[in-house]
Amino acid sequence: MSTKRYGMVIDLRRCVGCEGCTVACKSENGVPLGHFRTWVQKHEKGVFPNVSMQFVPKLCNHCEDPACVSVCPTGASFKRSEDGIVLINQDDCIGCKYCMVSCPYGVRYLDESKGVVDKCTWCVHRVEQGVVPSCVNTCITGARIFGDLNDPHSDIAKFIATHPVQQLKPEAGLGPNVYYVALDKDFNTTLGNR
Amino acid sequence: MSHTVTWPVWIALYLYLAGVSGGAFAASTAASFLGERYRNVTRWGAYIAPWPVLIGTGLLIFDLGSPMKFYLLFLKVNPRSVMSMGAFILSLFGAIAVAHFWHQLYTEKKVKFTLLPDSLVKLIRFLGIPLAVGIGTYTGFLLNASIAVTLWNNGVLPLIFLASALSTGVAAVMVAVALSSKWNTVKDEVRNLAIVDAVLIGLELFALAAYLWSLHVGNLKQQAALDYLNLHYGVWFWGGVITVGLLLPLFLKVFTKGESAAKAALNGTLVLFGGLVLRIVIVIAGQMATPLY
Repeated sequence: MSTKRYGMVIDLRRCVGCEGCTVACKSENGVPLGHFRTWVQKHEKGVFPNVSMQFVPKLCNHCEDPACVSVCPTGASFKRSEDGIVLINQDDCIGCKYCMVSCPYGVRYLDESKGVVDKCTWCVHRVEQGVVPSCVNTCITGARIFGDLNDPHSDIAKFIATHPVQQLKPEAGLGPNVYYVALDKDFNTTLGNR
Repeated sequence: MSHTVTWPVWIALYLYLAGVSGGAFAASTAASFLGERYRNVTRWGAYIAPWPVLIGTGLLIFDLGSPMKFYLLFLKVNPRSVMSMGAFILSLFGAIAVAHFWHQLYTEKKVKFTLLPDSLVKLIRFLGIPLAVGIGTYTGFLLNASIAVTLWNNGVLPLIFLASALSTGVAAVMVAVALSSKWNTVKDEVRNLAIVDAVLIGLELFALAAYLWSLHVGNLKQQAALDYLNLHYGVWFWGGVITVGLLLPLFLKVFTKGESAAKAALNGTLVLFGGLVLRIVIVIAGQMATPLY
């Protein structure tokens, strides 16, 4: 059996900004008050009457070479070799927040009650049972596609093979594994978000 | 858009205090190799060196989400992580600084036994110097490794921090020596310390110029970060760090006549102030200039 490489596509043409994913994630993972593992950013641009709005769901990009993993002093942050999911071993995390200042996507938070850093796990507990992550499951328009990028017959591999996709901040050079469709250039980079 | 400070001012204070310790230790051991002529530098450097870094380490552990799990830094090692390497540099340096301090008390007959056998004193002091340099430099590499923060992810930063660490450490020793006893008995040592500090200030100014220039001619992200620094922290950076902390002490040393304990103490205090403001500005402005998402 070859190794898996999980990835996600978010088709922004379908996202209506309902925050269903945000709520499903909080409920599924018991995310503490004030923190989010996925959320929907809303960007406006233009001057009336020539305006537009775009919804951009955010979550951990489960990068190919994650900055959080390189800086973690105890190796608590790690990338699973069998499927590429980036996880945090809570027993080893000391809460130094080095990963938080190093992640260009700002997807990590300190769980104050546990004293450890936490983030999206791609619902590893569901994925291991062969079920898609909660955010994918709940999306009312099917904007999120999850699956194995290494399997050419998976929905995500077929979708990426037939659609132009973009990544967030590709210039950071970390190889993010979340892909977007119709991502506006103005909302893609650090500068765009200023 | 969000401006978030994940590493608070305590972290900046730690980076500063670790540097002061490294600089004071380097001054003390270097002076000890030069002999009796510099006994006050050796003495006060040894007295000062262990304490700032110990206080700083306390702040560092206090800032952890799980302070009681700090020992895992020594059980779980990640060779790619500057913090993991830093934990070992920090503890080795701390141990040597304490041993050096204790040995100083022993040579003054203030304590009855020594932690360093005579045969090892020179070797341990000698090994301590690269560790002291390591302490000053690794704090810069620590920030440098964060690719998300433009003002940190700059190769010159470790050199700025090293120059500042040595300079502030020498300044701390200079203040202590100048005020420790009669001016006539210490003025030669203070004068030489001031010359060393002036050279270090010059190197720090050069490193800072290289840093600012690289941002100024850099990509849009770097230019935007520099603009942010100038706009929101310009008074502290250009006024506090560059003018009060570096140029003023250099000016007082080079262009004003007369020497006194008060002048040396003022000079050293200005340098210590500048080093502190430098760490705070870089740590806080760096994070504030980086919208995380």
